[in-house]
Amino acid sequence: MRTGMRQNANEAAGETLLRVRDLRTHFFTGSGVVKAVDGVSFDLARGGALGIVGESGSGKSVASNSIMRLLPKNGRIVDGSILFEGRDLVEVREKDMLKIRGQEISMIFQDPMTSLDPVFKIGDQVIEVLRAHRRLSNAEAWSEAVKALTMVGIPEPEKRMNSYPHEFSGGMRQRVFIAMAIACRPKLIIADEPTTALDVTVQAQVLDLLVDLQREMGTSVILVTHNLGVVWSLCGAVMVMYAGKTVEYATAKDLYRNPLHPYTWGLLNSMPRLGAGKEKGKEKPLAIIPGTPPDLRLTARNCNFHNRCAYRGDVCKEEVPPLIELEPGHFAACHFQTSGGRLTRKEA
Amino acid sequence: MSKIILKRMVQLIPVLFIVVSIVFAITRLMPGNPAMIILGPQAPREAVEKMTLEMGLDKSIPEQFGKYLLGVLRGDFGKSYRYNRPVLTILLEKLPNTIYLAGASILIALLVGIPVGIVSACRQYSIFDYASMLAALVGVSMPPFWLGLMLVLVFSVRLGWLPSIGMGSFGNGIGDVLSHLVMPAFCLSTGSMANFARVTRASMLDVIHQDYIKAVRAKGIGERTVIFKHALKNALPPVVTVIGMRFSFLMGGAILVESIFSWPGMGRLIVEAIGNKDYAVIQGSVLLMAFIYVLINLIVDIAYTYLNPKITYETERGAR
Repeated sequence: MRTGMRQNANEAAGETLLRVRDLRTHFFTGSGVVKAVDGVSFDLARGGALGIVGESGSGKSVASNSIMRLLPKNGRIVDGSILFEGRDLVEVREKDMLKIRGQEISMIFQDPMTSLDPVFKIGDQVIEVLRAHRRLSNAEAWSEAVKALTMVGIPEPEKRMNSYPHEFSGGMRQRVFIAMAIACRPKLIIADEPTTALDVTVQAQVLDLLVDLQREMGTSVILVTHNLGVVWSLCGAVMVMYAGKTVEYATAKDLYRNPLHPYTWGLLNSMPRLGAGKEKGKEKPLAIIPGTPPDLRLTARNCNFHNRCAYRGDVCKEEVPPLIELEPGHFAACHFQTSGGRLTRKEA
Repeated sequence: MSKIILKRMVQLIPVLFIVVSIVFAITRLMPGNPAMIILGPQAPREAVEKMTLEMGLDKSIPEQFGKYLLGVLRGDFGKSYRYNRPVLTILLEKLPNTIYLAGASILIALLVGIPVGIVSACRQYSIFDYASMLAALVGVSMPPFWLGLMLVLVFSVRLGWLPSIGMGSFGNGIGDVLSHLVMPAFCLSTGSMANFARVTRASMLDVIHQDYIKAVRAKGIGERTVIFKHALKNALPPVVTVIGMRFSFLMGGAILVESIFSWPGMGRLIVEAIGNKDYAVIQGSVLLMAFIYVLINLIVDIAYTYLNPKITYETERGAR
């Protein structure tokens, strides 16, 4: 990042656990280089929670997979740094990454129906992660696994250790998966849309569980989602991504009260709100952002949002806007949102 | 589990009944009078008639069938007039030789095919992948009888390294047995080898891209465990299916290879029996092969329950 990000409000609470700077992950395909992540920067405090929001294809998942260094063969981190407790994960050897995954950083996936290995008992799957990272006897590993299942609220955990994934409902499977993720008490949990595939009622339960665990264990959480409502209630800080880039980054409070990037405005306007549809007795349709996101093979020449932006100017087609700190701890990347001049948000 | 096996065994009965009926019908449809064939074209008429009576061929077809069925139920598959011995004795004498040959070729196919499939999947689009899949294509396309003849031509006739006939005997040492086994077993295994490699590769490729494999990697598990424990176990069911199919196929496919290498097994027995119109032997050996085929399928089904916990073959819960 050009300007260099200073401390943000979230971080003031404690030291930085994860500092991502100008991360770029590209996919090399037959039809060109797809710049799935092309300039992502954020900080995460120890014990803090960061929400990464953006529409489908904005690079949220690729960014989080990059932190775990779990990329498909044609994907590569081409630039940037991921400082985890001061260690750059981009440079770490694969052998050492094995010790970080599951123990220091663990991940929760979107679809619990497909993310547990169907042919092993869930107890064995929890034990597997424990034994990969800690020297435990069979009995110790067993009791640790039971403890993890108890923490995530699996009823009769002793008995359920011997069940196979297909014997659980979706919500229960996600709990099992979370048990696996917390078994080694990681410092960071990356939850990649952990509730998208679940029923609405179960979604709330799983999110509550995540919050409880985070508080109880002091774990930091990165929550990847496209649900802004979830972010307000759970996350201290928010990063908004668009077409592979960080377009805005702030505390949740600041972003809610005073969003700065036109894309964020569009996102907020397109959020359904109770009672917001009716004004002066007239029905008002839900706002949308017109147009579609750019082809990620053709980005990085200008502002990626310029063709959809209501506030665009000539410079937007010519130059890539840098991410700058407009207010303490509040960053945005827009040519017209600078210390010199500001945009006025139009009525949606 | 024993309940399931028992249930499946009971299901075998109608299958085998149908097989017996079809085989019996086909042998009766073959032209020519067996009594005449046994005695030769110059035999006097009375002798042929006497023989026909002796063999029960004068009776009506349903009567012959009923008699045969009753015999089968009692373990009596009739008598081979050619060898003048009970069919069952002959079959039990030849069957081990065929199982030995088929087993050896399956073993070769497994030891080569599955590792090749795994490596190909893990290094998709590598030179190894392309080369082995091309070899596999050649392998499945190659007719075993042609390969057998070529092997004999090169290794027995030209180079004189390997014997081309028979099984050898343990009396001459293990080397004799192995040198007799290697060519027919390899010849019989090429198709299966290629088949296993292709199926393993396809199945592994499918599994490797599943979420749960990525999730295992996210737990910090090493690549070897990811592939050989998690991916392989998930990829095995289709592979086990083709192993079962191939084994049954080899029992029958051995006909050509056994003929080329003069292997004293079931395949050659059937070919000879057809030539001699030895009804009882044809019926008995086809019935035995059908039984083995169904038995292998049963074993495959049971193997599934170990590989995939979702399969229990029981509608009621807890009956696993």
